[in-house]
Amino acid sequence: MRKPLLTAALLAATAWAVPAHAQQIDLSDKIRLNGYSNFEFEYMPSKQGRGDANASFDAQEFDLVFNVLPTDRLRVNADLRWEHGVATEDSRGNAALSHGFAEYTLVDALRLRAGKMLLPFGIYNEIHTAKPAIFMYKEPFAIYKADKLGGVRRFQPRSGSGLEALGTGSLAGIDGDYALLMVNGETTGKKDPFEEDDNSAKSLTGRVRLHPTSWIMIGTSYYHDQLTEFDALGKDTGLRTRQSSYVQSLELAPGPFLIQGEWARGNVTPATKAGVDMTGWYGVASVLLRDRYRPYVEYQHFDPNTHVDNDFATIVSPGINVRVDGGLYLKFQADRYHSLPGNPRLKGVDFTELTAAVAVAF
Amino acid sequence: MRSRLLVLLAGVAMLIGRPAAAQNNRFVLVVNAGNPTASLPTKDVSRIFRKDVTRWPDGSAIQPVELPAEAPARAEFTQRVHGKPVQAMVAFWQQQIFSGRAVPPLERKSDADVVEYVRSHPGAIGYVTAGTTLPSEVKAIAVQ
Repeated sequence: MRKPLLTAALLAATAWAVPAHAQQIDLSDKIRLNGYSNFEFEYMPSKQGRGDANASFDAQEFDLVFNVLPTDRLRVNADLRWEHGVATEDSRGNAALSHGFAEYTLVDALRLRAGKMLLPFGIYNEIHTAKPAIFMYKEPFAIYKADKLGGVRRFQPRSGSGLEALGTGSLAGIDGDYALLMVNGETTGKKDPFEEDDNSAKSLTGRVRLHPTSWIMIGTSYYHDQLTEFDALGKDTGLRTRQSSYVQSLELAPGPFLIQGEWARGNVTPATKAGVDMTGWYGVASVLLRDRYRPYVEYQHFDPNTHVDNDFATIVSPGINVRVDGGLYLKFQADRYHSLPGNPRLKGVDFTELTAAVAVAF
Repeated sequence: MRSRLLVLLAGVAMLIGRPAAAQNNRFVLVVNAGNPTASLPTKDVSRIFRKDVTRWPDGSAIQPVELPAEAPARAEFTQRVHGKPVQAMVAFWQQQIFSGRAVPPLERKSDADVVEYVRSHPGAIGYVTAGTTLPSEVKAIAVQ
Protein backbone atom coordinates (compact mmCIF):
# COMPACT_ATOMS: atom_id res chain seq x y z
CA MET A 1 0.00 0.00 0.00
CA ARG A 2 2.82 2.36 0.92
CA LYS A 3 4.61 1.82 -2.43
CA PRO A 4 1.66 2.81 -4.67
CA LEU A 5 1.13 5.83 -2.45
CA LEU A 6 4.79 6.86 -2.82
CA THR A 7 4.64 6.32 -6.58
CA ALA A 8 1.48 8.42 -6.83
CA ALA A 9 3.12 11.16 -4.75
CA LEU A 10 6.22 11.11 -6.98
CA LEU A 11 4.09 11.24 -10.12
CA ALA A 12 2.12 14.14 -8.71
CA ALA A 13 5.33 15.95 -7.79
CA THR A 14 6.72 15.36 -11.28
CA ALA A 15 3.52 16.53 -12.91
CA TRP A 16 3.67 19.65 -10.76
CA ALA A 17 7.33 20.28 -11.58
CA VAL A 18 7.30 19.73 -15.35
CA PRO A 19 4.86 22.47 -16.30
CA ALA A 20 6.66 24.88 -14.03
CA HIS A 21 9.92 24.13 -15.82
CA ALA A 22 8.28 24.30 -19.23
CA GLN A 23 6.78 27.70 -18.41
CA GLN A 24 10.05 29.22 -17.26
CA ILE A 25 10.32 32.57 -19.00
CA ASP A 26 12.96 35.26 -19.18
CA LEU A 27 11.58 38.17 -17.16
CA SER A 28 14.45 40.49 -18.11
CA ASP A 29 12.40 41.39 -21.18
CA LYS A 30 9.55 42.59 -18.95
CA ILE A 31 10.96 43.63 -15.59
CA ARG A 32 14.16 45.54 -14.86
CA LEU A 33 15.54 46.21 -11.40
CA ASN A 34 18.30 48.76 -10.92
CA GLY A 35 19.34 50.96 -8.05
CA TYR A 36 22.00 53.00 -6.40
CA SER A 37 23.40 53.94 -3.03
CA ASN A 38 25.55 56.77 -1.79
CA PHE A 39 27.62 57.15 1.37
CA GLU A 40 29.22 60.51 2.16
CA PHE A 41 31.79 62.12 4.40
CA GLU A 42 32.19 65.87 4.93
CA TYR A 43 34.71 67.79 7.00
CA MET A 44 35.37 71.49 7.41
CA PRO A 45 38.81 71.93 9.03
CA SER A 46 38.07 75.47 10.20
CA LYS A 47 35.66 76.46 12.97
CA GLN A 48 33.84 79.14 11.04
CA GLY A 49 31.66 78.59 7.99
CA ARG A 50 28.60 76.60 6.96
CA GLY A 51 30.50 73.33 6.54
CA ASP A 52 30.59 70.31 8.84
CA ALA A 53 33.24 70.90 11.51
CA ASN A 54 32.35 67.58 13.17
CA ALA A 55 33.54 65.43 10.23
CA SER A 56 30.29 63.48 9.75
CA PHE A 57 29.40 60.34 7.88
CA ASP A 58 26.07 60.25 6.07
CA ALA A 59 24.30 57.07 4.95
CA GLN A 60 22.91 59.38 2.33
CA GLU A 61 20.62 57.20 0.25
CA PHE A 62 19.58 53.87 -1.11
CA ASP A 63 17.25 53.69 -4.09
CA LEU A 64 15.59 50.84 -5.96
CA VAL A 65 14.47 51.62 -9.50
CA PHE A 66 11.84 49.41 -11.07
CA ASN A 67 10.82 49.35 -14.72
CA VAL A 68 7.96 47.07 -15.73
CA LEU A 69 7.33 46.69 -19.47
CA PRO A 70 3.96 44.99 -19.95
CA THR A 71 4.03 45.71 -23.72
CA ASP A 72 6.54 47.24 -26.12
CA ARG A 73 4.72 50.59 -25.81
CA LEU A 74 3.89 50.68 -22.10
CA ARG A 75 6.40 51.24 -19.28
CA VAL A 76 5.73 51.66 -15.58
CA ASN A 77 8.56 53.22 -13.61
CA ALA A 78 9.16 53.70 -9.89
CA ASP A 79 12.16 54.94 -7.92
CA LEU A 80 11.84 54.12 -4.22
CA ARG A 81 14.22 56.06 -2.05
CA TRP A 82 15.46 55.77 1.53
CA GLU A 83 17.57 58.71 2.70
CA HIS A 84 19.89 59.33 5.66
CA GLY A 85 19.45 55.88 7.21
CA VAL A 86 15.72 56.39 7.52
CA ALA A 87 14.18 55.24 10.83
CA THR A 88 10.49 56.18 11.04
CA GLU A 89 10.13 55.25 14.71
CA ASP A 90 12.70 57.94 15.48
CA SER A 91 11.30 60.36 12.91
CA ARG A 92 14.67 60.39 11.16
CA GLY A 93 15.59 60.30 7.52
CA ASN A 94 13.24 60.23 4.61
CA ALA A 95 11.48 57.53 2.61
CA ALA A 96 9.98 58.65 -0.68
CA LEU A 97 8.74 57.78 -4.10
CA SER A 98 11.32 59.84 -5.98
CA HIS A 99 9.39 59.39 -9.19
CA GLY A 100 6.74 56.95 -10.35
CA PHE A 101 4.73 57.06 -13.55
CA ALA A 102 3.18 55.17 -16.42
CA GLU A 103 4.53 56.00 -19.88
CA TYR A 104 2.91 55.14 -23.20
CA THR A 105 4.85 55.48 -26.47
CA LEU A 106 2.71 56.59 -29.42
CA VAL A 107 5.75 57.19 -31.61
CA ASP A 108 9.37 57.96 -30.76
CA ALA A 109 8.57 61.66 -31.10
CA LEU A 110 5.67 61.46 -28.63
CA ARG A 111 5.57 59.58 -25.38
CA LEU A 112 2.99 60.45 -22.74
CA ARG A 113 3.40 60.09 -19.01
CA ALA A 114 1.14 60.40 -16.00
CA GLY A 115 2.33 60.28 -12.40
CA LYS A 116 5.03 61.86 -10.30
CA MET A 117 7.88 63.07 -12.49
CA LEU A 118 11.17 64.89 -11.97
CA LEU A 119 11.23 68.27 -13.66
CA PRO A 120 13.17 68.22 -16.96
CA PHE A 121 15.23 71.26 -15.99
CA GLY A 122 18.87 71.48 -17.07
CA ILE A 123 21.34 68.61 -17.07
CA TYR A 124 21.08 67.53 -13.47
CA ASN A 125 17.61 67.95 -11.95
CA GLU A 126 16.37 64.59 -13.23
CA ILE A 127 19.40 62.78 -11.79
CA HIS A 128 20.01 64.92 -8.73
CA THR A 129 19.49 61.99 -6.34
CA ALA A 130 21.48 59.50 -8.43
CA LYS A 131 24.95 60.40 -7.22
CA PRO A 132 26.73 57.55 -9.10
CA ALA A 133 25.45 59.16 -12.31
CA ILE A 134 27.08 62.48 -11.32
CA PHE A 135 30.86 62.41 -11.59
CA MET A 136 31.26 65.35 -9.21
CA TYR A 137 30.57 64.94 -5.49
CA LYS A 138 27.14 66.54 -5.91
CA GLU A 139 25.12 68.37 -8.54
CA PRO A 140 26.16 72.06 -8.86
CA PHE A 141 24.56 74.08 -6.05
CA ALA A 142 24.71 77.33 -8.08
CA ILE A 143 21.76 76.06 -10.14
CA TYR A 144 20.28 73.01 -8.43
CA LYS A 145 20.53 73.99 -4.73
CA ALA A 146 20.51 77.77 -4.95
CA ASP A 147 19.05 78.05 -1.44
CA LYS A 148 22.34 76.70 -0.05
CA LEU A 149 24.13 79.69 -1.56
CA GLY A 150 21.67 82.29 -0.32
CA GLY A 151 18.87 82.02 -2.90
CA VAL A 152 15.40 83.07 -1.72
CA ARG A 153 14.08 79.95 -3.50
CA ARG A 154 15.55 77.28 -5.73
CA PHE A 155 15.33 77.93 -9.46
CA GLN A 156 12.88 75.02 -9.67
CA PRO A 157 11.26 72.36 -7.51
CA ARG A 158 12.51 68.79 -7.84
CA SER A 159 9.38 67.02 -9.01
CA GLY A 160 5.66 67.29 -9.53
CA SER A 161 2.49 65.32 -10.03
CA GLY A 162 0.83 65.65 -13.44
CA LEU A 163 1.31 64.95 -17.14
CA GLU A 164 4.34 64.96 -19.40
CA ALA A 165 4.92 64.72 -23.15
CA LEU A 166 8.39 63.92 -24.36
CA GLY A 167 10.15 62.48 -27.35
CA THR A 168 13.20 62.19 -29.54
CA GLY A 169 13.68 63.03 -33.18
CA SER A 170 15.99 64.21 -35.89
CA LEU A 171 15.67 67.35 -37.99
CA ALA A 172 18.06 68.23 -40.83
CA GLY A 173 20.41 65.56 -39.55
CA ILE A 174 20.51 66.97 -36.02
CA ASP A 175 19.27 64.70 -33.25
CA GLY A 176 17.31 66.19 -30.41
CA ASP A 177 14.89 65.56 -27.59
CA TYR A 178 12.24 67.54 -25.80
CA ALA A 179 10.07 67.33 -22.70
CA LEU A 180 7.01 69.32 -21.70
CA LEU A 181 5.68 68.87 -18.19
CA MET A 182 2.52 70.20 -16.54
CA VAL A 183 2.17 69.47 -12.83
CA ASN A 184 0.52 70.82 -9.70
CA GLY A 185 2.47 73.88 -8.68
CA GLU A 186 4.41 74.12 -5.47
CA THR A 187 2.12 74.52 -2.48
CA THR A 188 3.03 77.14 0.08
CA GLY A 189 0.37 76.00 2.55
CA LYS A 190 -0.29 72.60 4.08
CA LYS A 191 -1.63 70.75 1.05
CA ASP A 192 0.30 67.84 -0.43
CA PRO A 193 1.26 69.11 -3.91
CA PHE A 194 1.39 65.56 -5.22
CA GLU A 195 -2.28 65.11 -4.33
CA GLU A 196 -3.90 68.56 -4.58
CA ASP A 197 -2.90 71.96 -5.89
CA ASP A 198 -3.56 75.04 -3.75
CA ASN A 199 -4.41 77.19 -6.75
CA SER A 200 -5.65 76.66 -10.30
CA ALA A 201 -2.43 77.71 -12.04
CA LYS A 202 -0.35 74.72 -13.06
CA SER A 203 3.41 74.61 -13.10
CA LEU A 204 4.96 74.33 -16.58
CA THR A 205 8.43 73.09 -17.42
CA GLY A 206 9.86 72.64 -20.89
CA ARG A 207 13.25 71.55 -22.20
CA VAL A 208 14.78 71.14 -25.66
CA ARG A 209 18.19 69.61 -26.26
CA LEU A 210 20.03 69.36 -29.56
CA HIS A 211 22.97 67.12 -30.46
CA PRO A 212 24.66 68.63 -33.53
CA THR A 213 27.27 65.86 -33.24
CA SER A 214 27.64 62.87 -30.94
CA TRP A 215 29.85 64.94 -28.61
CA ILE A 216 28.00 68.25 -28.42
CA MET A 217 24.77 68.94 -26.54
CA ILE A 218 23.07 72.31 -26.42
CA GLY A 219 19.97 72.68 -24.29
CA THR A 220 17.53 75.18 -22.90
CA SER A 221 14.94 74.73 -20.15
CA TYR A 222 12.15 76.91 -18.80
CA TYR A 223 10.06 76.70 -15.63
CA HIS A 224 7.08 78.79 -14.53
CA ASP A 225 4.70 78.64 -11.57
CA GLN A 226 2.36 80.80 -9.48
CA LEU A 227 2.54 80.42 -5.72
CA THR A 228 -0.42 81.13 -3.47
CA GLU A 229 0.04 83.95 -0.96
CA PHE A 230 -1.71 83.28 2.36
CA ASP A 231 -2.64 85.75 5.10
CA ALA A 232 -1.65 85.38 8.76
CA LEU A 233 -4.62 83.05 9.37
CA GLY A 234 -3.60 80.79 6.51
CA LYS A 235 -6.37 81.96 4.20
CA ASP A 236 -5.77 82.35 0.46
CA THR A 237 -5.49 86.09 -0.26
CA GLY A 238 -6.09 85.54 -3.96
CA LEU A 239 -2.64 87.05 -4.60
CA ARG A 240 0.05 85.07 -6.37
CA THR A 241 3.84 85.13 -6.34
CA ARG A 242 5.13 84.45 -9.81
CA GLN A 243 8.28 82.43 -10.36
CA SER A 244 10.07 81.91 -13.67
CA SER A 245 13.45 80.37 -14.38
CA TYR A 246 15.42 79.31 -17.39
CA VAL A 247 18.73 77.58 -17.85
CA GLN A 248 21.01 77.25 -20.87
CA SER A 249 23.11 74.09 -20.98
CA LEU A 250 26.20 73.10 -22.95
CA GLU A 251 28.03 69.80 -22.86
CA LEU A 252 31.12 68.95 -24.89
CA ALA A 253 32.43 65.39 -24.79
CA PRO A 254 35.20 65.00 -27.38
CA GLY A 255 37.14 61.78 -26.81
CA PRO A 256 38.03 61.38 -23.14
CA PHE A 257 37.16 64.97 -22.25
CA LEU A 258 33.91 66.11 -20.68
CA ILE A 259 33.16 69.79 -20.31
CA GLN A 260 29.84 71.07 -18.98
CA GLY A 261 28.52 74.52 -18.37
CA GLU A 262 25.10 75.91 -17.43
CA TRP A 263 23.79 79.40 -16.88
CA ALA A 264 20.47 80.05 -15.14
CA ARG A 265 18.38 83.08 -14.39
CA GLY A 266 15.36 83.13 -12.12
CA ASN A 267 12.77 85.65 -11.03
CA VAL A 268 10.54 85.51 -7.96
CA THR A 269 7.98 88.33 -7.79
CA PRO A 270 5.36 88.57 -5.00
CA ALA A 271 2.10 90.33 -5.93
CA THR A 272 2.73 93.42 -3.79
CA LYS A 273 6.50 93.48 -3.20
CA ALA A 274 9.59 94.01 -5.32
CA GLY A 275 10.79 90.89 -7.09
CA VAL A 276 14.14 89.16 -6.80
CA ASP A 277 16.28 88.25 -9.82
CA MET A 278 18.94 85.63 -9.27
CA THR A 279 21.57 84.14 -11.55
CA GLY A 280 23.78 81.11 -11.25
CA TRP A 281 26.30 79.43 -13.46
CA TYR A 282 28.99 76.80 -13.34
CA GLY A 283 31.61 75.24 -15.54
CA VAL A 284 33.32 71.89 -15.02
CA ALA A 285 36.12 70.34 -17.05
CA SER A 286 37.21 66.73 -16.71
CA VAL A 287 39.11 64.00 -18.51
CA LEU A 288 38.70 60.22 -18.30
CA LEU A 289 42.06 58.51 -17.86
CA ARG A 290 42.61 54.77 -18.32
CA ASP A 291 38.84 54.29 -18.44
CA ARG A 292 38.80 54.68 -14.66
CA TYR A 293 40.09 57.98 -13.29
CA ARG A 294 38.26 61.25 -13.90
CA PRO A 295 39.99 64.29 -12.36
CA TYR A 296 38.03 67.50 -12.67
CA VAL A 297 37.78 71.07 -11.59
CA GLU A 298 34.50 72.91 -11.13
CA TYR A 299 33.75 76.59 -10.66
CA GLN A 300 30.34 77.85 -9.49
CA HIS A 301 29.00 81.37 -9.17
CA PHE A 302 25.67 82.38 -7.67
CA ASP A 303 24.16 85.82 -7.29
CA PRO A 304 21.08 85.63 -5.02
CA ASN A 305 19.85 89.10 -5.98
CA THR A 306 21.17 90.92 -9.02
CA HIS A 307 19.91 94.22 -7.56
CA VAL A 308 22.28 93.92 -4.58
CA ASP A 309 26.02 94.39 -5.07
CA ASN A 310 27.77 92.53 -2.27
CA ASP A 311 26.03 89.17 -2.04
CA PHE A 312 27.45 86.74 -4.59
CA ALA A 313 29.02 83.41 -3.65
CA THR A 314 31.47 81.15 -5.47
CA ILE A 315 32.76 77.63 -5.03
CA VAL A 316 35.97 76.27 -6.55
CA SER A 317 36.11 72.48 -6.43
CA PRO A 318 38.96 70.30 -7.63
CA GLY A 319 38.16 66.61 -7.33
CA ILE A 320 38.57 63.12 -8.70
CA ASN A 321 36.14 60.31 -9.45
CA VAL A 322 37.56 56.77 -9.48
CA ARG A 323 35.63 53.85 -10.92
CA VAL A 324 36.82 50.96 -8.76
CA ASP A 325 34.86 48.12 -10.28
CA GLY A 326 31.63 47.89 -12.25
CA GLY A 327 29.32 50.51 -10.81
CA LEU A 328 31.40 51.28 -7.70
CA TYR A 329 32.82 54.82 -7.62
CA LEU A 330 34.95 56.69 -5.09
CA LYS A 331 34.84 60.48 -5.08
CA PHE A 332 37.13 63.00 -3.41
CA GLN A 333 36.49 66.72 -3.66
CA ALA A 334 37.61 69.91 -1.92
CA ASP A 335 35.19 72.84 -1.95
CA ARG A 336 36.50 76.34 -1.40
CA TYR A 337 33.58 78.64 -0.59
CA HIS A 338 33.89 82.38 -1.02
CA SER A 339 31.12 84.90 -0.49
CA LEU A 340 30.55 88.58 0.10
CA PRO A 341 29.10 89.90 3.40
CA GLY A 342 25.66 90.54 1.89
CA ASN A 343 25.07 86.90 1.06
CA PRO A 344 22.01 85.90 3.18
CA ARG A 345 23.35 82.44 3.99
CA LEU A 346 27.14 82.41 3.78
CA LYS A 347 27.53 86.02 5.08
CA GLY A 348 31.00 86.56 3.69
CA VAL A 349 32.64 83.80 5.73
CA ASP A 350 35.08 81.90 3.49
CA PHE A 351 35.81 78.28 4.28
CA THR A 352 36.94 74.97 2.81
CA GLU A 353 35.12 71.67 3.06
CA LEU A 354 36.65 68.29 2.26
CA THR A 355 34.24 65.67 0.97
CA ALA A 356 34.35 62.03 -0.04
CA ALA A 357 31.76 59.54 -1.20
CA VAL A 358 31.26 55.90 -2.01
CA ALA A 359 28.63 55.64 -4.74
CA VAL A 360 27.30 52.42 -6.22
CA ALA A 361 25.06 51.91 -9.23
CA PHE A 362 23.63 48.52 -10.12
CA MET B 1 54.65 80.04 -28.49
CA ARG B 2 52.31 79.72 -31.45
CA SER B 3 53.98 76.50 -32.64
CA ARG B 4 53.64 74.97 -29.15
CA LEU B 5 49.96 75.81 -29.20
CA LEU B 6 49.63 74.22 -32.63
CA VAL B 7 51.39 71.05 -31.43
CA LEU B 8 49.09 70.94 -28.40
CA LEU B 9 45.98 71.39 -30.57
CA ALA B 10 47.22 68.73 -33.00
CA GLY B 11 47.75 66.36 -30.08
CA VAL B 12 44.22 66.96 -28.78
CA ALA B 13 42.82 66.48 -32.29
CA MET B 14 44.67 63.17 -32.60
CA LEU B 15 43.37 62.07 -29.24
CA ILE B 16 39.82 62.92 -30.27
CA GLY B 17 40.18 61.50 -33.76
CA ARG B 18 41.94 58.27 -32.99
CA PRO B 19 38.94 56.18 -31.90
CA ALA B 20 36.82 57.15 -34.90
CA ALA B 21 39.64 56.07 -37.19
CA ALA B 22 39.51 52.51 -35.86
CA GLN B 23 37.59 50.96 -38.74
CA ASN B 24 38.82 47.36 -38.53
CA ASN B 25 35.59 45.66 -37.54
CA ARG B 26 35.86 43.12 -34.80
CA PHE B 27 32.10 42.91 -34.57
CA VAL B 28 29.28 41.97 -36.90
CA LEU B 29 25.84 43.53 -36.71
CA VAL B 30 23.13 40.86 -36.83
CA VAL B 31 19.35 40.75 -37.19
CA ASN B 32 16.75 38.04 -37.48
CA ALA B 33 16.78 36.47 -40.97
CA GLY B 34 13.14 37.49 -41.42
CA ASN B 35 14.13 41.16 -41.18
CA PRO B 36 14.32 42.71 -44.69
CA THR B 37 17.02 45.21 -43.59
CA ALA B 38 20.31 44.67 -45.43
CA SER B 39 22.31 47.59 -44.09
CA LEU B 40 22.01 50.55 -41.71
CA PRO B 41 23.82 53.88 -41.51
CA THR B 42 26.08 54.17 -38.46
CA LYS B 43 23.98 57.04 -37.09
CA ASP B 44 20.80 54.95 -37.24
CA VAL B 45 22.53 52.08 -35.45
CA SER B 46 23.55 54.52 -32.74
CA ARG B 47 19.98 55.84 -32.45
CA ILE B 48 18.64 52.29 -32.17
CA PHE B 49 21.09 51.30 -29.44
CA ARG B 50 20.44 54.59 -27.60
CA LYS B 51 16.72 53.79 -27.95
CA ASP B 52 15.98 57.10 -29.67
CA VAL B 53 14.49 54.98 -32.46
CA THR B 54 12.41 52.05 -31.26
CA ARG B 55 10.44 50.90 -34.35
CA TRP B 56 11.39 49.20 -37.61
CA PRO B 57 9.90 50.76 -40.77
CA ASP B 58 7.01 48.24 -40.63
CA GLY B 59 6.08 49.52 -37.15
CA SER B 60 7.26 46.51 -35.18
CA ALA B 61 9.33 47.02 -32.06
CA ILE B 62 13.13 47.03 -32.30
CA GLN B 63 14.71 44.85 -29.61
CA PRO B 64 18.41 45.76 -29.35
CA VAL B 65 20.67 43.38 -27.43
CA GLU B 66 24.24 44.02 -26.30
CA LEU B 67 27.26 42.09 -25.08
CA PRO B 68 28.58 42.79 -21.54
CA ALA B 69 30.55 45.99 -20.93
CA GLU B 70 33.86 44.11 -20.73
CA ALA B 71 33.45 42.31 -24.09
CA PRO B 72 36.07 43.45 -26.70
CA ALA B 73 33.39 43.45 -29.42
CA ARG B 74 31.31 45.87 -27.35
CA ALA B 75 34.27 48.22 -26.97
CA GLU B 76 34.77 48.15 -30.74
CA PHE B 77 31.04 48.56 -31.43
CA THR B 78 30.61 51.42 -28.95
CA GLN B 79 33.60 53.34 -30.24
CA ARG B 80 32.70 52.84 -33.90
CA VAL B 81 28.94 53.42 -33.63
CA HIS B 82 28.58 55.89 -30.75
CA GLY B 83 32.05 57.44 -31.03
CA LYS B 84 32.56 57.02 -27.29
CA PRO B 85 34.31 54.60 -24.92
CA VAL B 86 32.16 51.94 -23.22
CA GLN B 87 32.32 53.70 -19.85
CA ALA B 88 30.87 56.86 -21.39
CA MET B 89 27.89 54.84 -22.62
CA VAL B 90 27.61 53.10 -19.24
CA ALA B 91 27.40 56.57 -17.67
CA PHE B 92 24.86 57.61 -20.30
CA TRP B 93 22.63 54.64 -19.43
CA GLN B 94 22.96 55.24 -15.70
CA GLN B 95 21.62 58.73 -16.29
CA GLN B 96 18.83 57.41 -18.51
CA ILE B 97 17.77 54.75 -16.00
CA PHE B 98 17.96 56.88 -12.88
CA SER B 99 16.21 59.87 -14.45
CA GLY B 100 13.40 57.53 -15.52
CA ARG B 101 13.90 58.35 -19.19
CA ALA B 102 14.59 54.88 -20.58
CA VAL B 103 15.93 51.41 -19.92
CA PRO B 104 19.05 50.20 -21.74
CA PRO B 105 19.16 47.39 -24.28
CA LEU B 106 19.21 43.90 -22.83
CA GLU B 107 22.61 42.36 -22.24
CA ARG B 108 23.53 38.78 -23.06
CA LYS B 109 26.65 37.12 -21.68
CA SER B 110 28.17 35.71 -24.87
CA ASP B 111 28.08 35.82 -28.67
CA ALA B 112 26.10 32.56 -28.63
CA ASP B 113 23.51 34.09 -26.29
CA VAL B 114 23.16 37.17 -28.51
CA VAL B 115 22.74 34.95 -31.58
CA GLU B 116 20.11 32.89 -29.78
CA TYR B 117 18.22 36.03 -28.71
CA VAL B 118 18.23 37.42 -32.25
CA ARG B 119 17.19 34.03 -33.64
CA SER B 120 14.19 33.83 -31.31
CA HIS B 121 13.07 37.50 -31.54
CA PRO B 122 12.03 38.74 -35.01
CA GLY B 123 12.56 42.40 -34.05
CA ALA B 124 15.95 41.91 -32.45
CA ILE B 125 19.22 43.51 -33.48
CA GLY B 126 22.58 42.77 -31.91
CA TYR B 127 26.28 42.50 -32.58
CA VAL B 128 28.68 39.63 -32.11
CA THR B 129 32.41 39.09 -32.40
CA ALA B 130 33.52 38.86 -36.04
CA GLY B 131 33.81 35.23 -37.09
CA THR B 132 30.95 34.01 -34.86
CA THR B 133 29.04 31.24 -36.62
CA LEU B 134 25.52 32.34 -37.51
CA PRO B 135 22.60 29.93 -37.96
CA SER B 136 20.33 30.30 -40.97
CA GLU B 137 17.74 32.20 -38.87
CA VAL B 138 20.24 35.02 -38.18
CA LYS B 139 21.93 37.21 -40.77
CA ALA B 140 24.68 39.79 -40.73
CA ILE B 141 23.95 43.28 -42.02
CA ALA B 142 26.33 46.01 -43.05
CA VAL B 143 27.03 49.19 -41.07
CA GLN B 144 27.43 52.01 -43.58
